[in-house]
Amino acid sequence: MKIKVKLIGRYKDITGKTELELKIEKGDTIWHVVDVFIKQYPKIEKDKKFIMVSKNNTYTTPDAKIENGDEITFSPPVVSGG
Amino acid sequence: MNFERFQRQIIVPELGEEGQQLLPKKHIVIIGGGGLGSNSSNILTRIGIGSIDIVDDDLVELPNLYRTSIFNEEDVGRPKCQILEEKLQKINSEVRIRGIKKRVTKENIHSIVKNADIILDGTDNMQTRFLINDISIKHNIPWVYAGVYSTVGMIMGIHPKHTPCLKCISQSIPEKTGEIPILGNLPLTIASIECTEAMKLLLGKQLSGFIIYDVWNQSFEQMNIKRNPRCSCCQRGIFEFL
Repeated sequence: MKIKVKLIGRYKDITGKTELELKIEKGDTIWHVVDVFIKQYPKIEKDKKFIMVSKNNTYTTPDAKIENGDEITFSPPVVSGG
Repeated sequence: MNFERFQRQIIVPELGEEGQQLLPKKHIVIIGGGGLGSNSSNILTRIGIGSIDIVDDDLVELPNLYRTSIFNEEDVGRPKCQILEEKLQKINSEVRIRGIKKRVTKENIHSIVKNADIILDGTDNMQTRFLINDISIKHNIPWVYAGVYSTVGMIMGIHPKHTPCLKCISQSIPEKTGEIPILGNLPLTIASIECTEAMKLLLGKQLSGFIIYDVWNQSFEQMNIKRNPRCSCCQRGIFEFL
């Protein structure tokens, strides 16, 4: 199945897109989707452990499964400078 | 408090006379007096908050000056919290400003924030932010997270039991790798947004969710996220940083 992923912040700059369409299998996890995303855009590799992924407007853990119609958003990791 | 100085703020409908009268009754604790904390304390003093504690144990250094609007060269080598207390008190003598020269730890954080109406984030590390998050959720004290990196700032007002907490949105702590790049005008911009969210919390107004602002590319994102039902902190009451 194909899912749409909304991109936030610098992910829009890196990809040149506000939204991506990724091909995954039903029941794949968030972790798998992040993997597919990073394979397409290796510049994001350093964010891999910390990328914030929301599913239907709730930030979720990497093991969460994706179902048809889920709205996924990738945001850069929380920033820590002050 | 003399309201004449706020005459053009009172006519802002979002605040109004009622809101302006409420601000002097509020006590804010700002943890960290660097780029974010110094700028927010400056803004909050000017808009008429009644009482502000600024907690920081660092000294002003030359590399701090480019991203604050309060410190200058003669302040280098002196405690940030002391300089802030002295200078901010001159802006409005009716505001009670207190500089507290302490490093916030899990042992002292409760005594520092227990009387706060809200806590503001002026820290430069995630450990302290998660500590603030834990005490906020445990004792039901709202706080505003703000962080900066390069040209990007993130802000989120956190109202315990009503909005997501910091742990809801970040399950892992990014590793600190070397010095964090920060564009000079970014902390002031982000501190300004942080203070707006703080005012909304104080006045019981609707918050703007999770905000990401890139000051270079002028891109502003606002996400209305929900509480994470599996959050270890605000859902399960595990305060691992306390």
